[in-house]
Amino acid sequence: MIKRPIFFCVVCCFFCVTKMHAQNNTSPYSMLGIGDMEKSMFDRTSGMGHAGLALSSNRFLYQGNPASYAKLDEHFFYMEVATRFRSVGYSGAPITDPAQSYSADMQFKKIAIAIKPRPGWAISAGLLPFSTSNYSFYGKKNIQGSNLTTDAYYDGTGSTNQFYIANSFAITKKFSVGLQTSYLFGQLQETETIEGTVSDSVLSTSRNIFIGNPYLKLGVQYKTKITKDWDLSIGATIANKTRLKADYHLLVKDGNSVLRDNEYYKSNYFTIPVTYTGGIAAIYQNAVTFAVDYNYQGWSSLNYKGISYSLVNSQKISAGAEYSKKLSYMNQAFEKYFFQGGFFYNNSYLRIAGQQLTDIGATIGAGIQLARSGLGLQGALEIGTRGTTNAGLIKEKYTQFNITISYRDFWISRKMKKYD
Amino acid sequence: MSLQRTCFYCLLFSFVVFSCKKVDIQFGDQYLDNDHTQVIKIDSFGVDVSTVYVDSFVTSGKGAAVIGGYIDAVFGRINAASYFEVVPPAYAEPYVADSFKTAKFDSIALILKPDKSYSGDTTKPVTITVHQLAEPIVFYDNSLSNIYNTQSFKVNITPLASKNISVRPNAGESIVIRMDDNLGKALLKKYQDPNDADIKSNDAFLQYLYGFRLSAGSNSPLIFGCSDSVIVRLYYKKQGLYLESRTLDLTLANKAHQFNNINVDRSASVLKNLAAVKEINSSLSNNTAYTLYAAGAMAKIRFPTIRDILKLPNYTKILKASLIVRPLRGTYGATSYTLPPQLRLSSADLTNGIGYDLTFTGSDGSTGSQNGNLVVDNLYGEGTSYAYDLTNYIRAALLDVTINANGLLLIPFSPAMETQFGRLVMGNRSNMEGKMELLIVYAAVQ
Repeated sequence: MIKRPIFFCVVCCFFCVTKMHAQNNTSPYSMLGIGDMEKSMFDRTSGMGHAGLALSSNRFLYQGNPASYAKLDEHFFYMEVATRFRSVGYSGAPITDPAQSYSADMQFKKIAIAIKPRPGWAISAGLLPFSTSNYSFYGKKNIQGSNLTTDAYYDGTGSTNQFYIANSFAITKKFSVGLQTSYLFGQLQETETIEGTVSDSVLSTSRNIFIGNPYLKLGVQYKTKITKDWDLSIGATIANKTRLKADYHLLVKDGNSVLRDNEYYKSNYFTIPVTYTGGIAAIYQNAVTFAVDYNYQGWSSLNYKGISYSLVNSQKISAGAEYSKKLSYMNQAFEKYFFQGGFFYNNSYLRIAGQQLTDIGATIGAGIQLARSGLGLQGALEIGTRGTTNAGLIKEKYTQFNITISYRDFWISRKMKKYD
Repeated sequence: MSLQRTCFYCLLFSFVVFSCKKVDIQFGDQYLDNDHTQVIKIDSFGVDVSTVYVDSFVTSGKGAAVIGGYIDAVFGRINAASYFEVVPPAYAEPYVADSFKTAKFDSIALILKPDKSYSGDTTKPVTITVHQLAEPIVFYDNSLSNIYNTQSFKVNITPLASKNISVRPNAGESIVIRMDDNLGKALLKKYQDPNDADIKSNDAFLQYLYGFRLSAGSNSPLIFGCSDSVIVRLYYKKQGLYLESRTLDLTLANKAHQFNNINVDRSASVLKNLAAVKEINSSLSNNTAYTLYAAGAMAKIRFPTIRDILKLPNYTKILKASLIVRPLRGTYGATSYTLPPQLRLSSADLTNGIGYDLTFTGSDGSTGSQNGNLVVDNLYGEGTSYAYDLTNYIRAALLDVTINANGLLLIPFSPAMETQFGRLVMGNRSNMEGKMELLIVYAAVQ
């Protein structure tokens, strides 16, 4: 009984710590679109190059594919929380001050729960990151009617998240489907601060964009034994094209006096294209896993363009492998620990100055299952680069470390069931 | 590893293994949608400038004696004379009469200390004449204790002194003018007479000697200022073991009774009608306006169309408003007319009375009157200008139409305003030789 309070204490501490230091990582490219779209699910695939659409587990939540929850054990309550430390080093022509070439932060990233109320039906709910925007810089703003400029400071911050409920059904023993119904929501704030060179007070324009929209993802998984030692699994998802609606709140202040305080509505703030993903995994003797995923988003057809940038079709390939040490107890296999490795290559949806930004990285991961408890700990280290120094752009070299704490306990007590 | 220990290490990691610093990366302002607030500069608002007649002004108690005269092509013939009273040192009985018993008169002189202000031609000599007043100096109105530039007092016909001198205002030399010996002898005689009451109190002395007037001839090429610490010095010799040279100084008695009579003959100037019409718009005087307060002219500035800014698209707020006043090229120079080193902008009332000054607030929170921060472009002259921050004034004028109704007066600070002759000939918006500009930077929010 002592385990539950300790677990929830840990969860609360993670909340508090990560809230305090949230979102300090500057991401210059996040000023475009709705920010940097999150590629990680902060689950067990984080150590496998984020590959795992075809994977499922009776113990852990694989959140890339909603069909995977159907493989969870019955009668259990599952919970996972994740936090992420990320440090980024910047290089390129715009980086002239060494003191401004590094940032780091730690953020709370995920909370998810799942239960399996019926043998063929599992349900999961949670909060996942979708995108983040965080940038700041000093710039010059033109004074119209003159050839003069004034100093301005630009700051953007915010994120979009998805609250989801996923239902997963085991159609057959080998085939399952899942539907994740999400509500994308979040706030993106852009602030322009014009310093007192043209005014005796600071002129600030703050635009808050409140986003809210449903978002659906359908997933399927099929798993079969192809030889005595080998299992093969395939999975796929499709997420619908989604037009994000937004409420704008424009606040213009001169010092402390409000000059303009407007709210307006935009029915098509940003459109997320149809997203296709597919994956295949091979499992050897229920211990060694190889997985490959492919992800495609057709941004080009949306015709998002701006000065020297456009959104283009994005593709991501990720692959990983895992070794899992399992023990047998009373004819059941229990995982003791696992090790993972993987890599990914992502042609992102941003093309700036003729350069399509890439995101390339490698991951390693490990996890343990604490003995005689429902607690599991997973850690994943990711090292990668994004962007380029060509054409005056910025390259980000990042190191990321995820910790996911999973917890499982009886949803309906076996004792209670026994006496029913 | 126990469960508790695992949790502990997790938390420790959370607290320790990261830093939190958001960095500024100068990238991508072209990608931002930052047009909600536009900063717009506009200089097309009209500035109405005119020259206003000053019929009289207080010159008493200004701490400066102005003497001389000169011809200004714009403002006319300006003449100034200074009136003042002097009194002897405090009388100490019975010592004074004894000490003067054997004294022999030598001379008596007036000593002036130029204060470096001048206008006109310093290469030509000035004839300075000293007259003894024939009537006491009194205030125009005792309740105000003021004496105006238009006032004068009778003097004895025969001058006490008249001297042709070359004034070198910046040399730091005193000007010494020897006066009529009879004045000195009579004064010495009073000191030798222990029963003479005239030197025993200031009031009694001023009944005996009303004061002096310092003036220059009608053809004077130069007007210059002196400190009001005028001294009338009696030189005498005293017989002792050997003959000693001694002096007795009579000093300014009452600063409030020291004043300058300043009169202007505009009959041959471009402002010859100013006294009659009271105000000449710059559009009627070659797009030019004039400020020389001591010569009875000051520029008045109004912004008749300023409220039209409220009609501009998306206008939200004035961020900065600046007034640039430029002297006409060729109207000033180191060897000709000098510009006033400081000019303030003061509000005006219906009768063009001077109200409050436009002020500035320094970075340390201190406040003061704006002085124009004169910049002189000695090379081309195009950059010579006075600049004023009108932000608060224009903002207030947009809220209250009465604030801008009477305009702003462009004048020096007192006492330079009444005692110095630096002058400004400025253009209006249409005068390319010295264009006046009202520059407004405002925020437009879409």
